[in-house]
Amino acid sequence: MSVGYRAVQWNRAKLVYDAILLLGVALYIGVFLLIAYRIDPPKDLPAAIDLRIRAFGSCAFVMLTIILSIGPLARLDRRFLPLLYNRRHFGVLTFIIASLHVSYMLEWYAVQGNLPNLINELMTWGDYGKFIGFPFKVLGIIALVILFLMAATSHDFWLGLLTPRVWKGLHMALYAAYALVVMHVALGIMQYVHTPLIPAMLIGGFGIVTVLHLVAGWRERAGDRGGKAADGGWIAVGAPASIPDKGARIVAAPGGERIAVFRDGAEIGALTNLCAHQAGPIGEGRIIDGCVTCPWHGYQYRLADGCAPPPFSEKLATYRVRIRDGVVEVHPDALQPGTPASIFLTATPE
Amino acid sequence: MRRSQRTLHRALWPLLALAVGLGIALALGLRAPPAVPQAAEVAR
Repeated sequence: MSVGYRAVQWNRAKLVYDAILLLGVALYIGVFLLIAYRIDPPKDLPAAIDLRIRAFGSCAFVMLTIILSIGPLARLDRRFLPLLYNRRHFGVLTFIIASLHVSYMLEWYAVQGNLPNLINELMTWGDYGKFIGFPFKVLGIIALVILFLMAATSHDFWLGLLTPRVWKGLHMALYAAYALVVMHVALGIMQYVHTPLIPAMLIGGFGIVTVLHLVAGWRERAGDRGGKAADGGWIAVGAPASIPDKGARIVAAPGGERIAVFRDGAEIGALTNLCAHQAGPIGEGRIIDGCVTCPWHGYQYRLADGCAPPPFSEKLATYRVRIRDGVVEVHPDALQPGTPASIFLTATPE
Repeated sequence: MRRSQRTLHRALWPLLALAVGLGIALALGLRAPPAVPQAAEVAR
């Protein structure tokens, strides 16, 4: 959350995250080159550059695989949430590593005076009709352009300008970039280097991302089924004690949009499950320092009216709640963002 | 994510995964066999 403009709001968590990230990348590339030099030392400069191309390329692939796994992992197990906190820096660093992979590739052509060959390779139009023999570098170039667009628009300035809905949609292009990278490897190095490590890395990485998404998606299906509405459209949530203290239960409105019903001691209130920042799942967060706190980036809102505490200005839609026959009920019609709607129980549930 | 985004995500993701999985399988199945080492030719 920010009142005044700051390019990057550094805090200890972000610094630690970035330090671990940089250390991990340096370790991967260092170990890769060390092993490669031990097994088969490069005989000339192009061979040495080729090793760097492979080190940075495989590093970017591993990083993309991890980035795409963070979302479903965080939904399956809360212990992975810290990985999600600064995923944007992870993405920007991946773009930088992929750019270095491309720059070494250009250097490889340049030191041999073969840059025109690269142009020819990309402009041999007949090859675009082949499957094996397809100019695989084009796939990598398109993926890099997508990564550039995402890195360039990763800042909150663009999030505010484009609106969270458009921004999120744009950043889903990462899936297309990943698919292009997988095929870039499959139709590229995997065709002429016959080590089993390349198919293992490709199938392993792609398999992990696929399985995690399928499992997380399957688990989420139940949450999308609209709740049964009682008279007047009210949806039963459960007994007050069934809502964890300083936590929430998430229910789905008949249309399927989710509502987070929180309890803070004797206070019960309902907010939209979409954080105003990046549409993060507010209902999976906790009440910290008296405010509902989004699990993704820590944006905070008052339970009473869905407003961020001063001096911040974000507001969430709230919902009416009531107690009927000892059961908390929520009305699925959203109130204007910032409308006070929480209620107090006469006694705090055990 | 909004419900519409989740729905789109769930519709597109399996299709993309299927297409890429098929692409990997074809790329593996159709790749040329490794070149026979020249030493083997000499020995023969």
